[in-house]
Amino acid sequence: MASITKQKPSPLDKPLSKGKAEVNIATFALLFSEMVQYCQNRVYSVSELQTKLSEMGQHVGSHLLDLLFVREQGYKRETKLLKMLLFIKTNFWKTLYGKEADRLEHSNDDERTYYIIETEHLVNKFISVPKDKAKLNCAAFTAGIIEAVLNGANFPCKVTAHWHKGTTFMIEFDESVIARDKMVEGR
Amino acid sequence: MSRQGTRGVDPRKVNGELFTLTYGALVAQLLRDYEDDDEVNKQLEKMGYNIGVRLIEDFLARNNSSRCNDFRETADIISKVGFKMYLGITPVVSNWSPAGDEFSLLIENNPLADFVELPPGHNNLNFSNLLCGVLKGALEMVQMDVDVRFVQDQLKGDNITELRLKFLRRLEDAIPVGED
Amino acid sequence: MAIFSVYIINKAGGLIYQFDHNNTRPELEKTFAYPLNLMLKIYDDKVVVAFGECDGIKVGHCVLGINGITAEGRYLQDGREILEVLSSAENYPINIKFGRQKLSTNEKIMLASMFHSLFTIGSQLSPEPRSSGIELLETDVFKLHCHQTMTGIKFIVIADPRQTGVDVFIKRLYEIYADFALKNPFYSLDMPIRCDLFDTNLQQTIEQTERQGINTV
Repeated sequence: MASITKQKPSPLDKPLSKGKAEVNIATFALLFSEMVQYCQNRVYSVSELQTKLSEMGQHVGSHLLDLLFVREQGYKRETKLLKMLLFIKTNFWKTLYGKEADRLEHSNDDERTYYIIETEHLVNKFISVPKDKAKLNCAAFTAGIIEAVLNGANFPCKVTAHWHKGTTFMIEFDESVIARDKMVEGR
Repeated sequence: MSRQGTRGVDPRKVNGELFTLTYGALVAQLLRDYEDDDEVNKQLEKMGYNIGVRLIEDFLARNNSSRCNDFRETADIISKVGFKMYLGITPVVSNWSPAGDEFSLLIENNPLADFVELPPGHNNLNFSNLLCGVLKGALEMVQMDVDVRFVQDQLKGDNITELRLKFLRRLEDAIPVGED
Repeated sequence: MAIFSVYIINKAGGLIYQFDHNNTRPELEKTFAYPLNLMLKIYDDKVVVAFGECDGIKVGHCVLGINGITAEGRYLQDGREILEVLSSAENYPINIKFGRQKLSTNEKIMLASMFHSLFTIGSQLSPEPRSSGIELLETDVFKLHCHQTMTGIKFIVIADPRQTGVDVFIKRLYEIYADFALKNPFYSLDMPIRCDLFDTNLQQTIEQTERQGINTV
């Protein structure tokens, strides 16, 4: 009776790691490259490929969220939009990518839209996009991560990655988020 | 310079959790795309192979290693240089076969499987099967045909994760001129 | 100091990358009035100066372009035959670009595969077993450095004989290959390398190597 002698361990039994462990960029880049190729073989268009990458990113983001809040904020979740965005730009980015994001901007024309701008983003470090897929930005994966983190923290939004000043992540929040934030600010 | 700086941050290192969770996302995707654990194992090994044949060039470009004289030396390099360099761990080399053509790598803290709990009903899934492919692909590029498989896995309740490597043959035809 | 060219050859002897560093083969442009005071002839499917050196244009130089249109063998890129264009007076004044004839892509592929074989012959000629292939080939104008990796890829660098630091450069070249070709999901192993980031990083490294080559002399 293997099931009795072999008790499957639960990750919950292990202490939460400090998040200090690092791997070689080659390990990550080659894994990511395989993922892009895998996705590419199962889709027909650039936008489908970006969606697939974003979905994988969302899987990562939803798992990261809990780890990060526990570690960085002592269980306290941000409730204000701007503070949350700043958290993403600074602590979150630094933990994940070893540096803060280059810039955070608010759109002039649309109050729901914010931009995080990265001149050189980790996942694109080694990727030259072929001419026939010029619009493809594999940082759609990262966009998925950000989206899941924001959604999980109760800031519903859509995040997409674009080639603009390097890579620009466009964050479009739900109307409800803006309305709620105005209420919180107004109090 | 802004305070942001990159002090103490090695540009050739990546956050281990980002890596682990990314791998987790890949396996989750494969489990959705393929019904069968064996198919997922196969796909993971294939992707690992593709990584291995590329990773070996990174390894050779950045290490001044010369060709190994025997399989024991290969085992040492895999554990102390390869695993150390790319995953930050040093598996224990042990359980040598008497002929010296087979050994095990014992892995205590498998970074691929951090925070992982195998979903129920996937008893045949070798979650970290990618590693088998990586080792096979990398060794094949330096003209060694090696069989790599998991014999124990902590995710399945074993005390340790054990990878078994068996030397099959030297790929004589593929050895570059001046190396034979 | 200068690095003239870089070649990468795969295991099977196929050329997967080639780069000629600019300015290594001087080109001369001159505007001519009718009739042309140079004698041109077709040689090896190229238009070559046969007689009448002037302003640095030498016998043996070939026509690389006319009025900014690049030449491809004896034709221009727009399909016109070069000698025909030059023979009619209404095309003058005309600007012609001369230079040392460039190797065509096919010629480069052929030379790469020949060098691949020569490398093997080098090893076979050795009186002792386990000799490497050709690692250095020297002429009075350049040195050819060849490094074969354990996986069988050859990195070939053609440089000024006085250029220093070529070994370090080749190591960097291998790293750039491992990074910007192999870690790119759109690159297939053993196939020609067409990656922008590979090109830009290689060029930066070439320029860096050339600058250092000067400093240490």
